Amino acid sequence: MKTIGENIAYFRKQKKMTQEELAEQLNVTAQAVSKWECDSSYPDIETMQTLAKILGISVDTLLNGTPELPQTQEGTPETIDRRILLIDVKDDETTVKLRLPVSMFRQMSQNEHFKKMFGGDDNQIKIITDMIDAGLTGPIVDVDTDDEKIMIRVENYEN
Amino acid sequence: MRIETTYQNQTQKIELPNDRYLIGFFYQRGKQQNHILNILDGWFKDGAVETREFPLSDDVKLCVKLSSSPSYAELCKDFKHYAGMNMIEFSEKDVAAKVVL
Repeated sequence: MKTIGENIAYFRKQKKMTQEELAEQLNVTAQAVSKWECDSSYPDIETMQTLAKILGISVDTLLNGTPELPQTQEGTPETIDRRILLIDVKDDETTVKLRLPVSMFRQMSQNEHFKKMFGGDDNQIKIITDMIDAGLTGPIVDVDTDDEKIMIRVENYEN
Repeated sequence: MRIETTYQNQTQKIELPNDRYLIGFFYQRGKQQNHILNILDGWFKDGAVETREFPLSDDVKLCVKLSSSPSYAELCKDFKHYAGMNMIEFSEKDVAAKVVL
């Protein structure tokens, strides 16, 4: 999750405003805006409301940012196979993080042990494979239940 | 491929033999197996499977299941691109493990 400062900087740039221009509208100094964006200090609640209004977003979005969405990155079958699948499974006691090359995920998706991670459901594995083949990167699965949290991302691997 | 295992903040690095490939591991406390991570077990059936034990304390040990599967070896040839990547990170209570390609 992004910090409040990163969110302020992101949405200010989206509005094509400089720190000075934003500061002027808020009646604060440019140094104050700079400090907020570096997370060295934070605007007070009243300023936060005005800031959100100027940036055209809700205070909630300012605090929490926008959820990251998957993106489409074109690639050849070879480059897509070299991407990695990040599978994070977390419950109250245990955290497991798997980093699997897509090529390996394709082979393992036939493995019964592996299928159990997806509730033994072939369709779920097919949907994930289809998303990978469509060139999606970023968060493609985010399941949060009472018992566990499962997140799956596709990323390019740079070593 | 190597395993880095941490028990009560003490870390051990275990280098796996080049002709043996990790298919699973688990921690054993006394007679109880606390957690099993056997994601690859049952997949690479074309090689012998063995379990090696690494004591972490008097009653806790890390058990590593290895395969000598030629098909796994073939797959690993493609993994040079990912050298150094953490393939698995696992943590539970006072134990943690990391599998590094």
